[in-house]
Amino acid sequence: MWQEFLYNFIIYIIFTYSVITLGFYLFIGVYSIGETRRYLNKSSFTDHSLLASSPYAPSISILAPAFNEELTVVQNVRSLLSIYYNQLELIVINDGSTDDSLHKLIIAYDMEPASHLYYQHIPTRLVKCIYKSRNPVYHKLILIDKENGGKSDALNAGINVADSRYLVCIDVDCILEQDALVKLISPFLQTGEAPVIATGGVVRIANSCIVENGRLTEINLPRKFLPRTQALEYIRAFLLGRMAWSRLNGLLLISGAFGAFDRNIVIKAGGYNTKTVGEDMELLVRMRRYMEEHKLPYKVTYIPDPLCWTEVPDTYKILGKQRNRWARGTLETLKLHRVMFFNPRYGLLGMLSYPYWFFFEFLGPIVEFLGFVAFIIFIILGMVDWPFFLALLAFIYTLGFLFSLFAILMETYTYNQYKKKGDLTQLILTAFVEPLLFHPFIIWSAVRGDIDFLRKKKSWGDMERKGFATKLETNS
Amino acid sequence: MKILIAEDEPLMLKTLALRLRKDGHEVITAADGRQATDYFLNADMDMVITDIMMPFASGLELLEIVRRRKDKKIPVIVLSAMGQENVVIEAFKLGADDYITKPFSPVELSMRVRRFTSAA
Amino acid sequence: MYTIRPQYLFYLTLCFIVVIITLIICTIGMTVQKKRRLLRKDKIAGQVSEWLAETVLEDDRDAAVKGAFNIPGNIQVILRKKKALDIVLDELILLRKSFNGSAGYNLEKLYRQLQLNKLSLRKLQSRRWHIKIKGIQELASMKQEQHLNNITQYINHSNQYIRTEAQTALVRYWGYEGLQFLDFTDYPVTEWQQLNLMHLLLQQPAINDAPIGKWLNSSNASVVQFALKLVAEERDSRHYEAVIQCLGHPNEGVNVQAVLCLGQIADTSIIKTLIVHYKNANEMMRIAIVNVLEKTGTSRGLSFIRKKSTTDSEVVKLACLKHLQQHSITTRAM
Repeated sequence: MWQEFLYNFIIYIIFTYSVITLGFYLFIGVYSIGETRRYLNKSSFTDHSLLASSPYAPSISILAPAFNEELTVVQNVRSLLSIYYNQLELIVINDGSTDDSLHKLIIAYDMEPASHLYYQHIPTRLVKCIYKSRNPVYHKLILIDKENGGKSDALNAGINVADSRYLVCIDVDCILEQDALVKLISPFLQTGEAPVIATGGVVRIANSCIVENGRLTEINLPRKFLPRTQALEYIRAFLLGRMAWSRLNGLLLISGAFGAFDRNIVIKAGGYNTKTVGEDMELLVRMRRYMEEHKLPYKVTYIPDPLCWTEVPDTYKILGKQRNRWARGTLETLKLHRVMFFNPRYGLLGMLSYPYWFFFEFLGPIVEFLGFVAFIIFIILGMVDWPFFLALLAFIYTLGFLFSLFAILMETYTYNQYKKKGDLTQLILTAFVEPLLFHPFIIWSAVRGDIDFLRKKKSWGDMERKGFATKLETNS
Repeated sequence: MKILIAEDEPLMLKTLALRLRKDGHEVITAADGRQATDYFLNADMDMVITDIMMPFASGLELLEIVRRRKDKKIPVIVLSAMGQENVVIEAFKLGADDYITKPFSPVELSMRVRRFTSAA
Repeated sequence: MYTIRPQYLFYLTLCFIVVIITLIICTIGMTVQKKRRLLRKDKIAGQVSEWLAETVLEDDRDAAVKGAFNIPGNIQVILRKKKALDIVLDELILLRKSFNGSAGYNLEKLYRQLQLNKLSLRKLQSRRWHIKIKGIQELASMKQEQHLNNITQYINHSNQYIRTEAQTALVRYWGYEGLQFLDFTDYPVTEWQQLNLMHLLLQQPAINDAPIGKWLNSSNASVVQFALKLVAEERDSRHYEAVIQCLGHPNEGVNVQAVLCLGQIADTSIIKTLIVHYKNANEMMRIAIVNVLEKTGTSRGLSFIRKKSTTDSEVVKLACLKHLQQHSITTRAM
């Protein structure tokens, strides 16, 4: 008897959870429309080009950490240098590359060591040298050569050296549109009372797109299955999810590949955390927390313009590693800031944003995974009520498919990047097949990430002990 | 003269081309930076007029490419919506011969082009 | 037994499938519509571009008939459709941004001749804010002064975008005189708006009796900031005293702006005042003061910077040291 009770209990939990999740996603989807429409309407009459050259436009530093990118780094920097914005510094941070990246950059841009004064607001690994170009054409470029310390550490070094009001943190291999900066910086300038402390931008998928001279010349829907499903996923997450959260002013994550931040607030919040793999989310949460704790009004916004293009993993192996890292990053951030959980002191952040991340982004994969395991067990025990189960499966499947189609509709309504013949059919088919071929893998990678997180916790202790031991030896 | 005009607004491009054709020049039009670079490298231009903000390659990049040719000094006029000092300075540093800020009069462009023809 | 019967789920699933089919149809419909719209726009733009280019370039002095432009028969046929008029309107507006002089005049004349001002007015009266704004922009760029009253009513509108566009339109028409809204606006003038307005004003001749003094004493901090920028840009030293007053303004942004302004309008006598205010200044203002002192190039200024480079907070020290470094480079070069 208890078996049946347990069975029903588990079924109801899974059912309720799925319905709430999908219902919430749909709400987010619909809620995002207002924000996206407002942005599109605003774009229809705004001319941002003035910002590129006005002496009253704010100063911006682009921070691009680089590690072992010798094949593409010179080209990437060239494309970044061609962005038109006058008060701009492009800071490339060579994070102790073991290949030829540094040397190639020095040669290509005629760099020489320069005495560049800066204050180390945030402690970082050793900065070996700062280079500037002899050629006035490249006067915006600053190259930092430092000891390897990871992406966060490199960004922190960049933050220290930067001498501007706003920071734009990107991945060095991202392709930015010509007007990316002026559009990204606009929200900071158009705000009324509450200052904007960070703005995120949509990251689009560059796989199968044609890139010439560091510029995107042709947009194509990714040909391979994995990048294509990620394209769909990104549309859902960015166009629907983030726009909705931006409207609520509850955004917790700005992609490390493309985001703008108020440098002062970043420094006051302490810079990037070098001990987490989810540094992008963790910084934004900490910045928001700083503002909440100091009771300062602020906004975090998001713009849906496709301004940044990047390549995504096209093999299951690399994708798995990425999602594993994302899961660990989420957990690390949630753990670090657990004080906010349902804490009214943190307003919307604590009462809605954080719980959402906990219950849906973190617990979601776990619940799904356990549900699947339970299902297998029930099959073995011969307890499965097939009509009910099949009906439930069809219900959840179609609801998920519906959500993806809604995302596709929104993409067509807004920027309509995939206009070629057959693109729409491909996207719809991808959405149909995704729950079978893509979603389970993502769930599995996330669960593995969670397990790895728990495991590492235990093994950190070991690593620390080893570390201390060596230190003592060298001292004596 | 054989003049290349690079400008991404189609009607503006057409109007300027018409103006210069009326003046008797041969005009090649390019709607973006990539086209402009292609045309420049494959034909023998006597003069280049370019906008700054264009898709695929900015006017300043085009200017750099033009200046790489050492055998012939090709006059370059830069058009732009931005008229601030710093942009002008950058254009001249890269070797522009003249600079017109929008809004401007097509007649004025015509006059400035004439200055280079008489010099040539 | 279960409270969730499979049938219910099944019916819901069917509903979802209906919604799914609707979504797919909508998406396809939207794609087709967008493509069609684009093709139509290109087609019409292509058909009229030759004629538009000729008309724009028409030289006043040659035209035998100084009246209306000649519109060829085939163009007239095209222009009978409203969609075509919309497209032509967009093209004219776009072109007006780039051309002035006789071409600009021709564009305005054509705009009136084709009665496109009626379209713009209709937009102005729309309930949808972004359409209204388009109307404002079109009337402003085509210098339709007779509709100014229609626009003036929006300069203190609660919708931020309508408000700023109306303000911009007035400044576009009247230059400095269009800045009257600064007298009474209680909304903040955003940085973007200030940037925009400065850009427009720089293209106009300054006038002597702009009530800058009044604005410098405004209760709206953003108005004071903007007024300080104006004073700095025009190098207008008549407001010297008022600017010094702003050094003690409660708003930090105003303090910094006042320092920057003094850097433009004052002579070396300002050094003493700045040093006095330095004591109570916050970091941002201190850095601004240091920057201005460096600009004066006086030994007094430099020795102050030297002193602060060792005693003040890290951020200020950095600014001082940078200036000293720059100064030593230039003196070495000399």
